[in-house]
Amino acid sequence: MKEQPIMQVRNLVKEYPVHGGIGRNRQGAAVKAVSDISFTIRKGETFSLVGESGCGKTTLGRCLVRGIEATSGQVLYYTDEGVEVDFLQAKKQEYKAIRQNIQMIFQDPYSSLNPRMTVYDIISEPLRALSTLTKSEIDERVVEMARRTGLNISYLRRYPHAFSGGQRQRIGIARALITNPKVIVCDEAVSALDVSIQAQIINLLKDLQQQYQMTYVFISHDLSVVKHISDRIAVMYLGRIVELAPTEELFGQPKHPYSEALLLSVPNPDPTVRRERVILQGEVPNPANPPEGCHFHPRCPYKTALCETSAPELRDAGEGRLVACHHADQLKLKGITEAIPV
Amino acid sequence: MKAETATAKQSQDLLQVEELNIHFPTDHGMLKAVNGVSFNVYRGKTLGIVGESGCGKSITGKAIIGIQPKTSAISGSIKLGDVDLVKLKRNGREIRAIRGSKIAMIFQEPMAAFSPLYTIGNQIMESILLHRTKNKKEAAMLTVDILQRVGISNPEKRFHQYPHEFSGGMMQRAMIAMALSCEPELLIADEPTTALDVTIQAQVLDLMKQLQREFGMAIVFITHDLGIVAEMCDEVAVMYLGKIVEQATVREIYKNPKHPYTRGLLRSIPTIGSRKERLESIEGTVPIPINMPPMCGFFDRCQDRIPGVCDKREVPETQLSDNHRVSCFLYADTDNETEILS
Repeated sequence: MKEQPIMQVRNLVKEYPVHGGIGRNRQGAAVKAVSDISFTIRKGETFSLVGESGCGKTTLGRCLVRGIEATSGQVLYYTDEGVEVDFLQAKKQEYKAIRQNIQMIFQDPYSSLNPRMTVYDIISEPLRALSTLTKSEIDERVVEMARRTGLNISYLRRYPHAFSGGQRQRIGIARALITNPKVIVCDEAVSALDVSIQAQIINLLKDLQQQYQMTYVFISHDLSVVKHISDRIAVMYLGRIVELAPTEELFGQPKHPYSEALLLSVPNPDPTVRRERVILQGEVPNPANPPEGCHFHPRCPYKTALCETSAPELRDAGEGRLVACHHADQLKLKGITEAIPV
Repeated sequence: MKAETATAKQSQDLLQVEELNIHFPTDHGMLKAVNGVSFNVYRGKTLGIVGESGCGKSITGKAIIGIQPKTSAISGSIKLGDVDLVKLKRNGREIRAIRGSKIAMIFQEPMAAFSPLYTIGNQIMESILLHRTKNKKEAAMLTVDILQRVGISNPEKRFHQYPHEFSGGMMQRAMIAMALSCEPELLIADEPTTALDVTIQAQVLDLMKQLQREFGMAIVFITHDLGIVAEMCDEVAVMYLGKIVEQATVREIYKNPKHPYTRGLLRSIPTIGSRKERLESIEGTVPIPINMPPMCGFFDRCQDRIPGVCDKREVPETQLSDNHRVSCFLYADTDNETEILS
């Protein structure tokens, strides 16, 4: 079942115009936040996008729900009947129909809920905007969703300020689930929460996924959470996917030097196990002026002359993995093996 | 003999915090943000303070350099050598002589901690001019030197730049430079890497370890990330609701956690080295510490609570071994208890 595609992204590009100078010297340039990305999301899986700030993961996520209009490319959605529709080209009625199936959960539970709307209004808004249900049907759905996400029904007439961070995130989840979506884009959905609350929300997301057979696109910078929740992971760097692999394979043996560095720089919460670390030099370059060739080469410990001039294609590396590195086959990179207690 | 070891241990002591209380009067009653906290910081060692938001860890750090909010009432003692920092006049001559020179602090948000109106060099030079030299030329040279030591390339040029020209990681390095410019004996680091990406976080943590070896200072590391604690600290204090519920060496805390909260916390984090199907979460949320009756603050969320005991009086502290103490009725021995009650 997990082999069937539910969404497919083809050559997606999102550019932001940048203006420098004033008057006659004004120049127009563009930052490629997402540059020519293609991948497939399978039905029922949790597909994660990881990377550091500025790598384009949030922009990509928003393009999937059309929160941001992409510059070019396609986002194909497969309906239940197996019909392929380009969501980016969908017009009004079609848009509404598909949009009910693709919902989003946001990072910051404080700014993603309108403080002047009651919880009831917030949760029911997607239905009022996208569906043709009657008022009593909406009522029923809201109450059901509140129950499923662990919200107290007697608090539905309250405003968001009366809730804690974890509770607010539950409201955000109820709002996303109300239209019975097939795909949910979770943009750093648990990053702002304390660890004990974070575990509650992760468990809730997992339970709901099982109940409703949903597909998650999980965007995060926290690799521990990503490892825990995902089936497949795409690692992004400066607007491109550098590696895409099933979770176990990626963590066991990464094939891209950036994935390796990312994995090995996560602090390990076990003082008895010393892990080898790769500490990258330098910082993520300015996306308005990315380096020639492979974007990662200025920080890469394994770079050669080839990397400075030619950009590697994302190519098949076997076992359902994709990698964009000239030397992926020669490199023996270190992954994270199961912790062995000393 | 005994007296000798006692003095030997005392000479290792740098800072002694005893029975520290920080209370905020509110309309609804007294908010006890920090409630009877005691710990020692030893020369050249790192003490980690962990806990979730609102547990009082940051304000404890701030109180050490006397920058807790004006509205708070503080009692107890914070001894640096023979000086009790709590008794010093707020912003008086004495505390100003200590702040920056003997005890320095770095903050979570480097962007918010620097003034946007002055150059980086100017701001770092300020504390050097206050504490080390009156000669501006010499101070500028010392500043360039310290910038170099924290790994900022081209320090002469960077000296004249403004905060907006720095990236997040560079700013955090600059803040560390500012804190270390007067070679303090104690550095208080309040979530210094929380706002940074993992690869940059690894760089900054590495830098802090290296500088600690060079300067031999003690660090109080305030964080919510148990992975960082395992990597950086010698000793850990776990805080919950304004109290230290457990304190031990790092190894002891991770291998032999005693308090139900510490255990819950360790179980609820996803780690990249192990595979768990489901995270164990701590049920419920942190209560607000206003008008709390004398009882264990963790009672409502605790799996091992003893009704009739834990919710009836203050929890006594039990010394389990030389380097492990815990505040929980599960470990309270009766002799000790009667002593405390009498």
